[in-house]
Amino acid sequence: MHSGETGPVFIGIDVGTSSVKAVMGAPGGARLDAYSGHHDTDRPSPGAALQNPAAWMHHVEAALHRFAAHPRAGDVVAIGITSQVNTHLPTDALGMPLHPALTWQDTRAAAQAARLDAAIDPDAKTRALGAPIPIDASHALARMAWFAETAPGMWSEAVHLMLPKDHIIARLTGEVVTDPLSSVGLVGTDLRYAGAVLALIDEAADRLPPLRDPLDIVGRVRDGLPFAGVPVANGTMDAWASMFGLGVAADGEAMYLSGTSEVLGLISSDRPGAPGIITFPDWRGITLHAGPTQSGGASLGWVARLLGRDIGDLSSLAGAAHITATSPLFLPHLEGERAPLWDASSRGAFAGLTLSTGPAEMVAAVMEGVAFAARLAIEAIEQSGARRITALRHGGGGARSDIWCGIRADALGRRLDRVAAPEAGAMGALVMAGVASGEMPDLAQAARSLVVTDRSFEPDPSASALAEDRFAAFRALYEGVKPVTERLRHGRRGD
Amino acid sequence: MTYTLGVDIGTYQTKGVLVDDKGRVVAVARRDHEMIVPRPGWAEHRAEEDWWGDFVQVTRDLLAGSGIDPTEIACVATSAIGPCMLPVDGQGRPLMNGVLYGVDTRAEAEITELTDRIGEETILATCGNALTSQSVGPKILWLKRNHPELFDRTEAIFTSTSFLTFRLTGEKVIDHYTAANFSPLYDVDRQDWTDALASDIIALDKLPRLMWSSEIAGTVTPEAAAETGLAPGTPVTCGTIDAAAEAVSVGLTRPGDMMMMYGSTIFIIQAVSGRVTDPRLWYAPWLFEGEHASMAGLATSGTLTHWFRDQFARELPRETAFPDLAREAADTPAGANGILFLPYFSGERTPIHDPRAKGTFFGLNLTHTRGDMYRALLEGIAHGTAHVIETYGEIGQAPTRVLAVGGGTQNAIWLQATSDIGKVPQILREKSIGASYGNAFLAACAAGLAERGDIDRWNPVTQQVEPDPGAALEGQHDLFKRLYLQTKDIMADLS
Repeated sequence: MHSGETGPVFIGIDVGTSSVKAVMGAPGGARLDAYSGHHDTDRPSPGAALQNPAAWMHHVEAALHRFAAHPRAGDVVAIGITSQVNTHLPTDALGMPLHPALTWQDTRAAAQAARLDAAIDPDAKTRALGAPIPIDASHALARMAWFAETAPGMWSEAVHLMLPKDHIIARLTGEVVTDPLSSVGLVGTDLRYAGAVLALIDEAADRLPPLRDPLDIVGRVRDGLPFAGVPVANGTMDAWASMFGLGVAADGEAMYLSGTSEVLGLISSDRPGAPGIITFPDWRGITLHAGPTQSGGASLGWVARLLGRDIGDLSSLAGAAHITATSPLFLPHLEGERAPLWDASSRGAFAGLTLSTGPAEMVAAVMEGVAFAARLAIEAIEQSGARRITALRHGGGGARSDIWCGIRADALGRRLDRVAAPEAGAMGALVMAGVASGEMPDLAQAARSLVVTDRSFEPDPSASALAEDRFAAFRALYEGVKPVTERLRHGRRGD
Repeated sequence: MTYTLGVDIGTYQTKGVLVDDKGRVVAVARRDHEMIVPRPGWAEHRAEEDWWGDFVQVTRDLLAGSGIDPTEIACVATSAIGPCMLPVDGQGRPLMNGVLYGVDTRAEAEITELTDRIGEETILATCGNALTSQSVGPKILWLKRNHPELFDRTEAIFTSTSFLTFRLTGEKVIDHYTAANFSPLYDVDRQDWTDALASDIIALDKLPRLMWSSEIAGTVTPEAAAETGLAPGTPVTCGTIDAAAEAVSVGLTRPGDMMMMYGSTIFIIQAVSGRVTDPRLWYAPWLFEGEHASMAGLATSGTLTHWFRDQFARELPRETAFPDLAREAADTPAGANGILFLPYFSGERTPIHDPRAKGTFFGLNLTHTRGDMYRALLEGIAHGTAHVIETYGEIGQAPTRVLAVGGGTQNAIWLQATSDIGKVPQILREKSIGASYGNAFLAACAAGLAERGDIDRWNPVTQQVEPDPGAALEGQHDLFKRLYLQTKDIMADLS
């Protein structure tokens, strides 16, 4: 049915934390085909969280083979790549892995990180990076120190330390590159490597791939693979790519990405900053103020397991509940909270339960609680960017439920425009490929052309008025349980 | 051989036992009835059918089942749900359905009016208890206001046992323990009716004659003998409320003895050496002249296990759900892996008396299981119970012996958690027949067949649950109380 159409076609690939997703699309929002493949995280010891790079590449090749069979495969003009970041693998000169990848969830380099963080003057670090970014267990330099100490033989042979997207690009094109937006904690506001930080580790500068702009074409697909000869765009980290994949590219536009956890982001050229919010360096006139929360689909999966329900049935269940002033409240801190609270020790709470509370009320409370956690982050990014959001795009797997979207619109008191394609990261890589190929003039126009929304959710006036009170109660609940959490933790330390 | 007959009228069931003079059960009979709810907040029984009709049928079944000669029955004692409010005419005929105890909340307006008019402190000083839905005085005022035509024909106000005793003997009597619930019409210090606080409710000569439950009220009339099969002239005691009879059945004998009833709620009766004036605890003269009792109760307890099963264990077969859940909870260590539970699903009674309190699960993380949550629930009820035990300690009335009874004692984790957190041993006895057995013992005492201490032979101790000092719950109890205080205002706002 597409064979009669003409014009450029693009591919976007996203190596995520739990799956590889790929989309094939064209101007006008046509989503021609999509691929999704799951990969595992190995947790062989406390703090360890490893992935096998071969599993990523397996899915990338499977996606390309699938797309190569599409009638419009011949019109593909560029491929873009994005991935999870703060996930690192040591490779040889050709980009072949020498060790499983340590994902961003792997905390074993905490001691090395603390040592490195203490070794640099905080003011000097802030000057070098443009922000007081901590060197934590997921920082590239901490990973280098960890490999050097725990696997010195392997590490002495390693030529590069790569992110997943760098690795995929190397495997597809033979080129070794990375990009400055993905190189969190390594680059300054000039988007170049920060020498003062890299100096903490010998040869760090040599092992990090050269920086190229995310919109550069960095190579062509090598022979022997589907789409051989097609240009490959550098792309960038998943949070940025997802923003473009949700069609967010201009000042005042914001994203609400819902997956296992959630990410809120706003573009604003004003940058006063706000506690708990990450303000990225300005890139091509885009300044992203972002906050990842810790709750999202994971909270829903948790309550589905406890209630003995299929997660797919939860929306209709929640739809039967009507949130009122007496409905229970859910604090979704099942794994602590990230932005804007950054309170890893906080824990979840179901409060306000009565004998008439049933599964519908509990599921609705979980959906509302996740939305309230996002609202805290949304208010913080508006503060960080010193402006109101003019358009809020919503996407990701957690946005597929109409019921949940409705609860979110009420809880936030804002209209949500939901993006049709669920794979936001891959769509973003596709948008970037569109610009990198020269077919699209800039990101804003590419996003407008390639990303379409399928539905808007308006807040119900009375429900969002109620949500004002309930959001205040949600905040009070967090503040109220905080001293108990702290003592619960201290009490357990002595166990 | 000599026997005694004990009959107890419950909310849903009447139970009778025929017992020999050694306390051995010769026959048991039961009959079910319904609680009538004509409108929300109202709760009634039909006095003629549900009370007298059940008594007649159960007695006939016991006589037929045992084959004993009715003249061998030395004494009859009754207990029933109470206090009830039943207006009767000059012939002792019911003018309406019997209005049940605290589950009937029809007199809220009268409670407020009388409390405002008299003053809560004056009521507490004279009556020992604040006016609540348990109080009979406001219900009589409700009758006078809403059914003046019935009130005009009212010659006496009966409680449930008054009605049974009247039908058996022609005597209009009530025991002091029940009468203490007739606030504001009963003076606990003078142990007599009073109209000093409110003279406009009813003329005092329309209230039954006050007696002690250990006393004989009269003997079975020829008419009653013909109906029931009992021998004319059989002595009948004046009866009492079911919980008091239950306490007798498990050996509540001397000051410091505490009955802990594990039912749909936890209900506590403690024998005390004199009047208790703490507003957190209820007070009444005990069943024997010169003795005193102090009462306490949680708002909902065993009911929570049903709520939990209905939400979280839908897939378990109904008949094995509770043992299955108990096994899962047993796999979780004491402390429920850090979950705290506030059991205030229907508000709370003793000691916080907060009708707007709510239930809470707190400390939740992604790894928690159903067994963790069920264990937390049982421990939360135990924390609530420990809070009551502490309250007795604060007024110098710490229990010296705790007598556990009720269906919930079969839940080993619940029982043990109560001892661990409450720091008290608990005694369990051989027979758990309940109030009807206590009545049979009271009848034996009244007939001179047994002495108070004989309950240890009638119903010997079979098990003692010891607190486990190693159970790591010490700090958690303080956190339980702290969690309530930290969130109570938020929960009140959810009402």
